Amino acid sequence: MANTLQTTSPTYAPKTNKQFGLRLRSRRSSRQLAFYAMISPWLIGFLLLGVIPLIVGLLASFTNYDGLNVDAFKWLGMRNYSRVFQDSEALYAFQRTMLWSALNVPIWLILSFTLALILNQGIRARGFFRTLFYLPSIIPAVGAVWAWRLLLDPNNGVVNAIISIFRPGTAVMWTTDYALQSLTMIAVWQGAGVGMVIFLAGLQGIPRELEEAAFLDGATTLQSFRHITIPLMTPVIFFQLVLAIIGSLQQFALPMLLAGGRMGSVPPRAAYFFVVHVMRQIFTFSRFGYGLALLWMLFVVVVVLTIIVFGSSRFWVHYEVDIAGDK
Amino acid sequence: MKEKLPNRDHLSRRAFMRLAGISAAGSVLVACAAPAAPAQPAPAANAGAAAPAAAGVNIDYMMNDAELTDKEIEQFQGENAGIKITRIVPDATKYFAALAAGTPPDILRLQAPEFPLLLARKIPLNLQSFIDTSSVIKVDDLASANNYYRSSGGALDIGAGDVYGMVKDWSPDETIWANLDAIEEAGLPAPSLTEPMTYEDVKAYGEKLLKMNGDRVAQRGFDTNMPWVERFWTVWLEGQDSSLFTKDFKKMDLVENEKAKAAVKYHYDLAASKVSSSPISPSPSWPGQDFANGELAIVQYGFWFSGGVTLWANDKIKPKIDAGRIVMLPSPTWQGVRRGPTITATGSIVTGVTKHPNEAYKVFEWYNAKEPALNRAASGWGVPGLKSMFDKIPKEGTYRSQVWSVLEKEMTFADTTVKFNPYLQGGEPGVVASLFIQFYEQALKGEMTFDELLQKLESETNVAIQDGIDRIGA
Repeated sequence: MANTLQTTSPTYAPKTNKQFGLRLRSRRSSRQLAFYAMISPWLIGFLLLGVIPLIVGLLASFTNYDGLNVDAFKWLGMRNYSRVFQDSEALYAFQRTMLWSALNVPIWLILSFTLALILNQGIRARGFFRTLFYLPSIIPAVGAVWAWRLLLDPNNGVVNAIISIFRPGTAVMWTTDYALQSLTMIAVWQGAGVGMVIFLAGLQGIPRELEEAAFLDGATTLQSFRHITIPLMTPVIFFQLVLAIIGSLQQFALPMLLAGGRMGSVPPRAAYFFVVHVMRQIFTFSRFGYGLALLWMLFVVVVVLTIIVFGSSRFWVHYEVDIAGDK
Repeated sequence: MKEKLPNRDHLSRRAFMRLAGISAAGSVLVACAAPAAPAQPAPAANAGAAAPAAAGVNIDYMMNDAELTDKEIEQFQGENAGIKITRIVPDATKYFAALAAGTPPDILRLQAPEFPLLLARKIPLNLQSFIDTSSVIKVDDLASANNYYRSSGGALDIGAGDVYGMVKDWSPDETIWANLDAIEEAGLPAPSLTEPMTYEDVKAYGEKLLKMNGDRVAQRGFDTNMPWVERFWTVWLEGQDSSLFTKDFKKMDLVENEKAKAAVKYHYDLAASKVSSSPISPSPSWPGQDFANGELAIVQYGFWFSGGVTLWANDKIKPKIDAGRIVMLPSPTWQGVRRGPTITATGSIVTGVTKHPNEAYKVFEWYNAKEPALNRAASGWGVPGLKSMFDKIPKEGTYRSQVWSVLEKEMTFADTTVKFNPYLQGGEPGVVASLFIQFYEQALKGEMTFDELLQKLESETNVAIQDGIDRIGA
């Protein structure tokens, strides 16, 4: 046996290495093949339904295409983009959208995080409250806003009726004079449940032993929250923040529903958001090209804001793994 | 000391967050996508008289399900083997996307103010040769409202000439509806059921019928469908040989046009005094429902509302309908001119790029002159598009006989075809009404004067007109 091994080993060893290399390469390429095969349905869909329309959308934003003038549309160069800065309504709508985002995002984040913190405690009927807080999220926006419109109606709404008990005849214009605040309330009411569930998942991922060690070292609940819970939750807060900013800048359905929900509805002035303006340019004024240019401008704003948030993350987002190793 | 090696096999939190952020940003990017590049519309194929149906032809009909029922479709398909009707619920996004893809619906639902722009773009199929040889539809039998779908040349020559479409039904849209009990409770004289009021009379009624409870509106006096305001102004001004636009429709004529200013001021004043709903006194619903709930005393919605009010009335209003206390009144007069045309004239056209013009016309003819048209005529939701079907309009009972007595006379004032701007989208609301709704809140709240509102309306409309001209290449 030993002889055989000795005689065969000089020729066998290099062959084994080669075969091993081939097998490794073959395994790697089959893994790659499997990877591409698995992502191909999504990739094909993304190319056909995402990338190609995006390119067409980008090209159309340089034209005066209106949905009907297929045979007569003109190439306008950057004119649609420069028009944005002369469109006082676009600038007003952008300002309202930023204001709404500044109001909506922090309130939503704080409230959903607070709800998650409460439900993460060993309180009674935790499941019941979790369902209760999540419930508004499963109500379709159309029904939810309709119900809120009835509640907030200045003349027959429940809110003003309650106020009228103390000051008869009160008719606060919740849906027009306080449209921004009302929309924030509706959005937070409807979205807090989703945010809460994600925060709850994050909270439940915090290692128990860290908190126990802190308590053994004499930390108070507040100190534990400040130095353990918050830092470990920052990646989740960061993730929620990015999504909330993007979602707020894109808000369209709520103001339209508040205005009646018809295609030609015009929301109250206070809730005249950027995407509402875009929708009006496209469907009321048939300015497809200009509307698309507005959307690309919004995209640039979203990207810039996202980069800023990402850039800031190194100062406040805590990662459990060694980031140096990831670099 | 162990060296920490970068682990590329697992996704770090940071990498995950980065990917999540990129994915989320990507969703915004997708929102920027446009419909696919539009195809060149084929020249309209006017294939003459309706020929026997080819086997397995599908006709896409863009129409609401209540206006073209499954039962009617089944009935047609049962009698016309080889033609299938696919109903597509009207949706602007879907329509533009289909048009861009070169596959618009074969038959399209629209309203009269939308037709000039579509004709300017050569989208409708000229149906004249089909009508000429039809044994079902005769030009002489077409009710006046169909003139909105006729043209003797281009988009500026609408009112007579070749037939491009038909109304599914129509209504003298300026007729008003009054709650006589509300008027009596306010101590006001009952309005005449036969003689029209002036618009100023209606406003005066509205002001006296407005009931306030502190700052809250307990009952509104008079309201209308705001998306129609520019159509009302168009009718009123044509009655005074004036217009919202210059003769060639290439500019708005508002700021220097006293007649046009007065028309706009009318609706503005109604809103400012809270007689009508507006951003300073919003309705939780829409004026028709407010009237049907007994929260509004007079509403302007035209004859079609005769069907609606019976359907939407609450328990308080329903008995009033049966007792003849909810009545339809003649269209009010503007500056003494009596007119009562339709301003909606909802109907349909066959698209010029249809691959099956004969079958599309067969469906169009069936829908507008056979069973579905008869069903609509008998429903009381609109005046039929064919004069020969006028006798099908319901006239029995206290309520219906009162409505008919007004309608019959009103139809004699309904033969005017007003002109709509072919450079502007004429939906509901159209461009002018939409801009008015967008900006009048600022004027009502004192953030701009009425004159500034008019200037804003004119300048923004002129930009929209210029865009329209550029796009058509006129």
